[in-house]
Amino acid sequence: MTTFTINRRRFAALGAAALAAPTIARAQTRPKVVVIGGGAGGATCARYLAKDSGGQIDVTLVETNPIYATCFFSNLYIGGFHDWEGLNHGYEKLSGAGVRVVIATATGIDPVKRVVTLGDGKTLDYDRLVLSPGIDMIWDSVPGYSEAAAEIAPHAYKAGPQTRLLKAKLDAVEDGQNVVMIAPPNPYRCPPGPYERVSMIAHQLKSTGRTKSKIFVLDRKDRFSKQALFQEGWDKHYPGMVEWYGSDIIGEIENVDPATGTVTTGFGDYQGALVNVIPAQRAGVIAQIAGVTNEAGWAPVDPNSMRSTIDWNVFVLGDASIAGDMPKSGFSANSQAKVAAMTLRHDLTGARAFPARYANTCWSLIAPEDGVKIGAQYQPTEEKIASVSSFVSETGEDAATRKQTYEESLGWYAGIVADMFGA
Amino acid sequence: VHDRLRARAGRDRDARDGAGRDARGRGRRDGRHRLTAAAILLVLAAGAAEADPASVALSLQGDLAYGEYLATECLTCHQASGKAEGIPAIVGWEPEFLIRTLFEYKTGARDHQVMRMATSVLGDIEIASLAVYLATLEPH
Repeated sequence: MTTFTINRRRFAALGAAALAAPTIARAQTRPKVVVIGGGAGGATCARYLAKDSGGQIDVTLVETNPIYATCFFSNLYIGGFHDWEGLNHGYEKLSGAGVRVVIATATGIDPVKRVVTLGDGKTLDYDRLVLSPGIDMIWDSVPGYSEAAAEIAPHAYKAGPQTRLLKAKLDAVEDGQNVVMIAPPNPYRCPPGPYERVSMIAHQLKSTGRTKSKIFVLDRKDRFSKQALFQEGWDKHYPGMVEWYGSDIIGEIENVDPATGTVTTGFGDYQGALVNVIPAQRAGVIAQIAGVTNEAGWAPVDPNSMRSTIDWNVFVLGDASIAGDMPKSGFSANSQAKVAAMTLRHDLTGARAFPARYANTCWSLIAPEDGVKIGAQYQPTEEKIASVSSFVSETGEDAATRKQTYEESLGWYAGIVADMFGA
Repeated sequence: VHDRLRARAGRDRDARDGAGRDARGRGRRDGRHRLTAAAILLVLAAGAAEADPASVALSLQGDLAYGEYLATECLTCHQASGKAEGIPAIVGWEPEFLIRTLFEYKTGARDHQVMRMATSVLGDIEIASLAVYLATLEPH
């Protein structure tokens, strides 16, 4: 088991509260689980808790937006392969499955009294808290960038208005004008995401005759996920249109000027009609408010359960967590949610516990019907969630294989959405 | 659901036991060759076990609750409703069919990167348990 590293004052307070009011005695009716964040981690966890506990657990899901837009597949919207509406999902079926859905923003957490405060001042008591808040941008990780600047140079790394803004700006790029992307440093949401996006942007430009335009990718690391597959695909489908520079070439990003679309690096200036800045990231702010993040801004968890190593009553899922070898992906969050739900049911209702096991596969689209994938199985060790088996698509695969991979990714989207929100 | 499952598992066991009784019966009818026949049967059984990687899983009674937990991984892609929109449906199958299919991926007789990886970490009891649980889900 992972050692719980808790600051002493906090530990004393939490310990005293636990002694004074054991969960079961305190919860005179049903044990209460509050889940914050209605994405791949939170929605899945809430749904499985309600469904599998047969009503024994009182499950509340707190989510800011009444309609959830999936970040996964939002690149396909940018590429023109998916409509916007198809990425949007409501919570009606979750309500039908026995989850109390509260559309509000959680703004405060009292870990000793175990109370969540919402933006409107209302409160929710919990016995256990599940945090699945996704990411927040570290705005000042790129000099010159800010939340306001994102209205001109979108990050589009949370699906919603930002995604649509990027698409609109891409549609306005004229042939011969350039696109500049600043790709983020590790760790960040969806490791192949920026490179799938480059592919989708290139496809949009090419398919509308804008082949004199170029895409410059200024990366803050020196290699990336599925690199050989993407670079092979760019050479094949978009020759001369994509130039990728690793941090070993360009050095630091010195400045971004959204007004002129200029990015200054140690290697020179790049100018784009569209500048897509994907900043460094950290766990969604509520994880920090809950006090379960480390100095880097991410939440350490027990590899056996996704339970916070800082607060025993809290579980952290998905992008916000430090999940060892698992990438920050919707699939990972969905997988982690099931381990957490199983652990919570054991914890609160005495249901059987089983050894944790996790899985992930990330599909990426490079060009029409040219899909690739990478995946792994994971199991907990003493130190982390460790990869125990993995695969990745190969370069040079035939068109039929790539088409099949793309079609499989469509099946996965339909599947995970049904698994998150109910069918 | 549990009753239906037990009934189905019972049928499977009966079918296997029935085959065993036939073979033993033939051995008993020929007294002189009983020992030889028994020895041959043992060798054949060992050979069959070797040739059929699914035989142990097929002989196990799956653990329904374990199967339900393990199946949560499958149901990310394969829809619990049985809808197939690019990825095949796997619910409501006869357990033996699911067990044999998973072993085809595990041994490489059928090739699929995700399925080969997924089955690489499944043992006999995991596969038997998945099969009994997924058989209880009705396509709808």
